[in-house]
Amino acid sequence: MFTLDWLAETARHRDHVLVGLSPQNGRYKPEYIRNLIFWLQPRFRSIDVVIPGFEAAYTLVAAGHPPAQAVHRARRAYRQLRNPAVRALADLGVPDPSRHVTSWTRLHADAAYRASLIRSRKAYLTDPRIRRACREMTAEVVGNAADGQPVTQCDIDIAVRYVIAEIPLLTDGPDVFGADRSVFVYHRATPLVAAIADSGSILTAAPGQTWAIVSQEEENRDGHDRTGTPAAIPVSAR
Amino acid sequence: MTDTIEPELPLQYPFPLGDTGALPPLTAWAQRAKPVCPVRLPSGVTAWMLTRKDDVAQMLADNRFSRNLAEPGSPRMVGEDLTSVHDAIFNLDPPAHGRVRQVLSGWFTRRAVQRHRPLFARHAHRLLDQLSAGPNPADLVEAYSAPLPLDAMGELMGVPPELAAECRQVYPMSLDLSSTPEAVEKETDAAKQFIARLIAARRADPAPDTPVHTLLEARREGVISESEMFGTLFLIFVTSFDPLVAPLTTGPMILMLHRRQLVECVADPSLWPKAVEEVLRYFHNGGLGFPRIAREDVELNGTMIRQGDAVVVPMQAVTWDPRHYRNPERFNIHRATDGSATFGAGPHYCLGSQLARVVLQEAFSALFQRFPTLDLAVSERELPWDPNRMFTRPMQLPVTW
Repeated sequence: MFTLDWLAETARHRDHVLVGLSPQNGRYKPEYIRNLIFWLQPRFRSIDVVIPGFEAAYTLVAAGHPPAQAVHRARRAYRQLRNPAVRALADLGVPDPSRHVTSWTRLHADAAYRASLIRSRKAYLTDPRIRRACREMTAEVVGNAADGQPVTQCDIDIAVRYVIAEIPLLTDGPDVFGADRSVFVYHRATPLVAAIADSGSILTAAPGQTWAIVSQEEENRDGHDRTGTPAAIPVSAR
Repeated sequence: MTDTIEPELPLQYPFPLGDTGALPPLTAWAQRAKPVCPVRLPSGVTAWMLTRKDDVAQMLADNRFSRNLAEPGSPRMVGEDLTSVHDAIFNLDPPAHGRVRQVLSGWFTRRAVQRHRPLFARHAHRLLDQLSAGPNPADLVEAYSAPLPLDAMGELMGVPPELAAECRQVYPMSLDLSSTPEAVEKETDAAKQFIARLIAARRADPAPDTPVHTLLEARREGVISESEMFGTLFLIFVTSFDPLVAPLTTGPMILMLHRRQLVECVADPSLWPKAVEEVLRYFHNGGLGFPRIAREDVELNGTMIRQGDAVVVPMQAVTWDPRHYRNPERFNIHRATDGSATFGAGPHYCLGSQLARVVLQEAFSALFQRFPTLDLAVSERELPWDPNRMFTRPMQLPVTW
């Protein structure tokens, strides 16, 4: 059983839900992914699931892993997230389920995603609040992957590409997925969403873009943020 | 697709792509079952699509088919694209076509283009130095395949420094088949404005030994008209970029997916020209290309093409025609056949074909001699092909080394 906590209650809708799966959080095990999709899918007219692309390897490279090993692990993590998501959608009877589980890399085929990514990169370079949020989130992810080793600005420079590549999903879901309204669903609040939702940023969300935090009721009760098993890419907090 | 399932006609373009750049299944079906096949273009115009090499060769050499699409109302892919520019070499029919082509042909002969190898090698090595110093993995399109033509062709063409930034904004043109006619016209207008500024800059400050200068001189001497000079300059700038970014992306991709053949090339650099020919043969050369128009009724392979009808040709169908290429679906650098057919046939045979070969040979060899272990950082199934792009290719090519 899950609950959905909308960032703005007035923005509630049932149009399109975009589910972000993270290779860097232990909760995204096959059973959790299946339960989450089974819970969300009937509540919206359409559903898509997104998984980080090759950029996921940057967090491991920044944490000191050799690139070839980082890429290998990121590719394996992608498969571990994708397969249960496709199976869940297939079992729910969603036509052509594999089309609805997409890596950020595949999204580059879409002109709306590419245009949004250009805007996101520009915002990172020119908007101090977006930049700060991106770097804070990157530092946290790399710090967890680095197992307590200090994270340098140079490490963040490498891995921040990972966080920036996700921004279009937070700002332009309606355009990229062809919906009037789209809610991006993630398991926790992030400073990036807060910065985008704030009207003071140069990065504005498209009309119809909303956000919500999804929680499993069991974890609300016992207060744990993680499952006990390791993540697909073993980074704890994101 | 099996022969028992007949797709509805006319086929709707763009077609779903083949796996990893292979011939689209609908094109393969048409080649087998409907060699002169009606296809509805995104503009709503219905054209005849030819898919067999012999039919295509006959049509391209037949002056009953015109290339002049400059008149309003001519069949377009989407809207007023590059074919709407008056008197571009692209739009000219003989004899005007031959007169304009002659001005530039000295630049693009097999012998003439050899002297540009050091220029392309220099830009390739500079970009590879940057790739090496940057993060690993990386997007090869952003780091190499896209900037190489912009930088190197920009220098060869004589783009002045003050217009370099605008050149990067305008090119490569997206030639997006999902675009609106208004957006296509806007893109065309932006390129026209760039070309106008380039002409003004190079009239004020000539850059001898560039194709731009050659065209300006031919205009000054009265060999070609002002609009022929403008239109042809417009066209050679379009063809200097996106048609190169596509094979600069698909080439490394297919070589990484055929590691044994790639290793052979690295060990024996004399094989790079063979690899380039097979890349040219294997992939498309701009989807359906742009239409030609029948000047009179013409019967082709049993189908009557009426005066005024549009005809389009996917050159990848030609280079995958099993009557001429054995096992066309196999990427094989040791084939006896080359990639020439991708560049067309007849009077409009691609003027830049020899230069394209030089660019690709220098680019592939520099890349893999420098990064022999270069490999895809994602599964090939994850590569983002945009079917709406006229020069379709993976828009991102994540690699590691």
